[in-house]
Amino acid sequence: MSKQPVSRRQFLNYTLTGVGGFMAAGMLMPMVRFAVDPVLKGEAAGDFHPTQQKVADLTDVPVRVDFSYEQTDAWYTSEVTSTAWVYKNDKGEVIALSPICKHLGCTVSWEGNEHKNQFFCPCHNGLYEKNGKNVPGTPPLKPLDVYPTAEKDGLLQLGKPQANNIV
Amino acid sequence: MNWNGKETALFQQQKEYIDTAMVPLVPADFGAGMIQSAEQYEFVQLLVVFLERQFKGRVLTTPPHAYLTDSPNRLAEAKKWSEKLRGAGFKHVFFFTADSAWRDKEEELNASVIWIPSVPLGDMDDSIKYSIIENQAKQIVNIIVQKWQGYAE
Ligand code: FES
Repeated sequence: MSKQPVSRRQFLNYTLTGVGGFMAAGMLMPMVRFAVDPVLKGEAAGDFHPTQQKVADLTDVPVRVDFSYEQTDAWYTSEVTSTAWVYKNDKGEVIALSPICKHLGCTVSWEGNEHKNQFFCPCHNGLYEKNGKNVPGTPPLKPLDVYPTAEKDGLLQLGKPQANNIV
Repeated sequence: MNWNGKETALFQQQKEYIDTAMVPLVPADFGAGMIQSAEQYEFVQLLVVFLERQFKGRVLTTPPHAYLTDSPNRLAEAKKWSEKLRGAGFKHVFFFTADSAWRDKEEELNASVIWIPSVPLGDMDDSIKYSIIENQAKQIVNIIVQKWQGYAE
């Protein structure tokens, strides 16, 4: 028995230190990542994603702009595709609205189902004005979110959607 | 709504609005048909994810219902799913499959069967994949909306 080079106590000590080490690393790694990874900081500050839409081509009629970017969550890095409804208002400012219905999250479309000059949600007939304001009497209780916009080399860039402050 | 804890909880609160179940119906073949069955799964899943995003507020995506390709009970099993879902209050049940064997089973299943021949997506570029799925999905979007309107009448 006592000839064993590793005693029971030592064995436990080694293994537990090993396991503890992994646990500590597991806790520390994300913290280190947050501290050093500039991409994560950029994301927190709300950076812009490029689109293919020429700002000069925008008119007062909302058009659908699809754009994709890479997103990393805890498990995967994936390519996400998002959509915005974009137009220029009377002052010539670019307005980009999120298509996500504020009722339960379906995708709304401009003049869907023949609703002139409105956004329509097919799920429970939600309606919004052109500026994103929800039409009273339809299920949505809040206006559509708005994307911060930017322009680079004539192309539209979109940030992270925020609560609507233009209605 | 997706099949996860958070969204199923939301479903339970908002049942009156979420009246449609989407069930991916996929073959599991561990023999010669493995690649094809995996491709069908891949395709159907992407399609259902796309549709869920369009219709999040009115649909619940269930876990995929997989069946062994040579199982004699597969029709009966799928039928049970449809019955359970109706029992849970879903007015509309849609099965999504790339297996043509289900095409004429709507009546027996008491559910809509959306059959889409699968495209092998292989190592296609993500953006091409997305546009293929989007094209297919657009037609299905119309089918779903029509079913909803039919029910309202
Ligand atoms: S999700 Fe848009 S009206 Fe209900």
